[in-house]
Amino acid sequence: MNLLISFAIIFSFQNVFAMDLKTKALHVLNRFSYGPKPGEVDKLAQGGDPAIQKWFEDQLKQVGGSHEADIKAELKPLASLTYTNEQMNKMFPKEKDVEMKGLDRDTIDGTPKDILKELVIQKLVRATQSDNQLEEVLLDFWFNHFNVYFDKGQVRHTITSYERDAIRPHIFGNFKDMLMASAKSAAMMIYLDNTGSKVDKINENYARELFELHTLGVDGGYTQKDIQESARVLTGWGVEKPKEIAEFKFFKKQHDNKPKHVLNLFFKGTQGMGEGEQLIQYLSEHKSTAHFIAKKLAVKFISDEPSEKTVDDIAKVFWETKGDLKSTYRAVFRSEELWKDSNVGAKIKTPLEFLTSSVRVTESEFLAQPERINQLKSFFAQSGQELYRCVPPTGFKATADYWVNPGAMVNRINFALSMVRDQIPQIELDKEKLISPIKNNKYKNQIDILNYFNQNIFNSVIKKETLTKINDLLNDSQNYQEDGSRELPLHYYPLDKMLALMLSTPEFQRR
Amino acid sequence: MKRRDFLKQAGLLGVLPYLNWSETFLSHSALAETLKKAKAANKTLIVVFQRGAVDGLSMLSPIGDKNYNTDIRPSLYINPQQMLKLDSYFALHPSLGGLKNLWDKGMLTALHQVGSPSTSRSHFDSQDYFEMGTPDVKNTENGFLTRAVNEMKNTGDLKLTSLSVQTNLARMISGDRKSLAFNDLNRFSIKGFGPVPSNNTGTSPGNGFESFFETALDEVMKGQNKNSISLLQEFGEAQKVKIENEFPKGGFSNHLKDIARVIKSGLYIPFIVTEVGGWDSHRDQGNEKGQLANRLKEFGDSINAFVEALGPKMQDVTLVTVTEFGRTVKENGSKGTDHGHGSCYFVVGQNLKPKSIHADWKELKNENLYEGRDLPVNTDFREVFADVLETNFAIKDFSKIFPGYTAKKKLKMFKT
Repeated sequence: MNLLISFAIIFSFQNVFAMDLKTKALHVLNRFSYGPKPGEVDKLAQGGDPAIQKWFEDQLKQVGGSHEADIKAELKPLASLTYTNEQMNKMFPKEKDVEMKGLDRDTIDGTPKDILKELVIQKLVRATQSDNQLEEVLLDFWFNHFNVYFDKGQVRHTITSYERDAIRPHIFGNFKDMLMASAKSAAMMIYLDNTGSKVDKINENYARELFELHTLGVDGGYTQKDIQESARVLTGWGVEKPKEIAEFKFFKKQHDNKPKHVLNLFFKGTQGMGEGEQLIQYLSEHKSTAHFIAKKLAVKFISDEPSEKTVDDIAKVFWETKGDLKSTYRAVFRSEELWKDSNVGAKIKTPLEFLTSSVRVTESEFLAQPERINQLKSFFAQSGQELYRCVPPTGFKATADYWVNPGAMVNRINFALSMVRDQIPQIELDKEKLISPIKNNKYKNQIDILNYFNQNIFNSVIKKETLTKINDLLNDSQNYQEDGSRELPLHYYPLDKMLALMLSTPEFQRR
Repeated sequence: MKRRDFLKQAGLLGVLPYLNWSETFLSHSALAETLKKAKAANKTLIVVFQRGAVDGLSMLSPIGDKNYNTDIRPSLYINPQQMLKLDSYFALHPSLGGLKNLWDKGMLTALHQVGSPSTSRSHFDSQDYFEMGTPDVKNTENGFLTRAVNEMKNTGDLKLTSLSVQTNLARMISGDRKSLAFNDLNRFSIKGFGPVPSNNTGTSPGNGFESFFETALDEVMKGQNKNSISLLQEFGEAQKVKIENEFPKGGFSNHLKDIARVIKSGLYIPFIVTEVGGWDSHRDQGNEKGQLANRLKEFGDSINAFVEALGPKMQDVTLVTVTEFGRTVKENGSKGTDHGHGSCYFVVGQNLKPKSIHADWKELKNENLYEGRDLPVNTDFREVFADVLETNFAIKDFSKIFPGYTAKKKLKMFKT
């Protein structure tokens, strides 16, 4: 059986050879990282298929690279990132408490809004600079799958450890462990109101989303009765002293000790927390869960509308390996549908993917600077993807229909313009570096510079017609070419606008 | 209908011998027709989606129903003395003073035990079912307001038929080729490229920008509005509109303010959609004070401010508030409410029959509750929209807008 699967995997990867290597390398980096940096595509393409496969395997192994140490050093001043929930409560008290209790601001690190700033900055620093790109992409995927909303009460003080300790360690592990860690987290229990669910006084919120959003999916085959019974099973799962310790705790006295019946599970009522654990394990191994997670991964990495076969193939691996995530990601990577020519560039970037890929493609620095964060915040807010602030438990959508509309496009254009004009304090775009190979050249035609950028920065994804349009647009306002015989130095051309418009092209909105 | 038929016949008269007479007659009738068209053509419907399933029983409480009491809602129940009475049976939440003001002016209609017949208690499925206009049917290809646009006449000259003032294009208007979304009117312009000119004279940077991004949008947006970027100019007028009266603070309030500015600028769009969140009150919902009370305050005051801002323009505007489902009749274990079924909607407008509540109220006895726990749905959301669309947009045929559905009753919320 296993042999057959391995054979099928090798066989399907053979089809990959149909696509030219450069396209393949670009496709891999677009789908499994936050976008290529200059030179990265060529380097990967030169190594051929073995290099591409190795890149993916290295990503699964989190081999890292030269940037990891820098990131660690850069993020060190952001104190909240390493704090326990208890330290968070102590060092980032609510603004109201600071005023009412007359706390000395020198003895604290800040207020909850500072936690959010540091959290957002660390996410973007890692997403843009980390060599473990797949880890960062998947961290976003899984956090979003197990979404919690920053501004719901004490989620503020527990969200950092939630991402760090419940989600991140399990990205390349087992689904069940991540599910269990999310269930046994203060942030999730608070966010989905399980903290208030007691015997004879149940709260259905977490139980419902555990089925609908975390495991089986809404069509996964369960009833309202199953939700109510599960809520009873999970009574007592709560948080110890949310304003001090703020860690997950099972409260025996709040647990419903009477018999319960959920799906095919019967509980005598005597096992306490063990009942909930058994339920979670059962849900994690359910066939509907395999299908639901497979579909979600396929939508994220392969296509907005993946075929049933693709989803089934991935689900099969997930199910047979009992939720082994590395095996599941390999199944995604080796899916035939991923490698179809028509699938290249078929996904639309989310606002986060647009921002991070813009930073990476221009090889900009992203500074771990949590102050003056308004420009970034506003970009995400206007785009409808406020990081850590998705109110509903569904998380953000991964399909184009959600992200593509005129307001959002205008927002992206404005962001690109701000970015190249150095108006975003965290992003340092080194234009000198970008143009250094051509800085002493003289150009007769602006289009030649656009072509240079397209080939050397944008991996030639921008179509000729689009470049012509940018050229016409900028020529209209900058009459540089009245005398065609004259050659002008590079700096005579509107390089800022060129770059911003290239970042705003339809081609660059795709991955 | 009859008048229209008559005018058509009058048109035929034009080829008959009584030329002078019929010419005069025609010019008069053509004028009448134009006026009528103009009147029918400038109606606007605004749909406000309360996402997260609002507790209808708290928004509009059945104070006359003995079963509504502290036994079922120990911490949520509000003493009727503190509530804003609409009649002897129903009273608004104390935070909804804004809506009470509209009620007193005869501009508010309430609907209770209203919603979708779908059995789903999933926020996300239920919102989709609502917006697609097809309960329990997934993968409907477009929004119900998009199909309403298709039923409307004389939309050919309109630059936009629908607008969504939120970060994404609301599903209610998905598939409409003349739709558009923005989250913030003031930011709907491109920095540093100057104003986008409206005519195509061809030399200014704005124009090139326009054509560049028309292609960009067309390619990325598959099927959405092609001319959206050139519409930046249209909204330039709206950006200049200043609102004098005070709006409360908050995202929803800002959205309604932007909608008021768009309408006041004279840019006509039949359907405008926006949303307001924060209703999923599983825990510590509160009574006259607390979480829900705070959300309702912004909700009601914003709508009241919106009506004031529009002034006489309100003559042509109907605003409907909806939600995906209601919440449990009984309070849950954490002083909140869980996902339920029926809820409460409001309709705001100048041409409503004043001070009406459409409820067909069923008392809150267990046998009357949906699945023994939730507010029932006695009025289908499709009946509500059929009435609004028929009265304001002269739509007669709902077979495509709400496929497979026949209204059980006509609500007749408007003055005829």
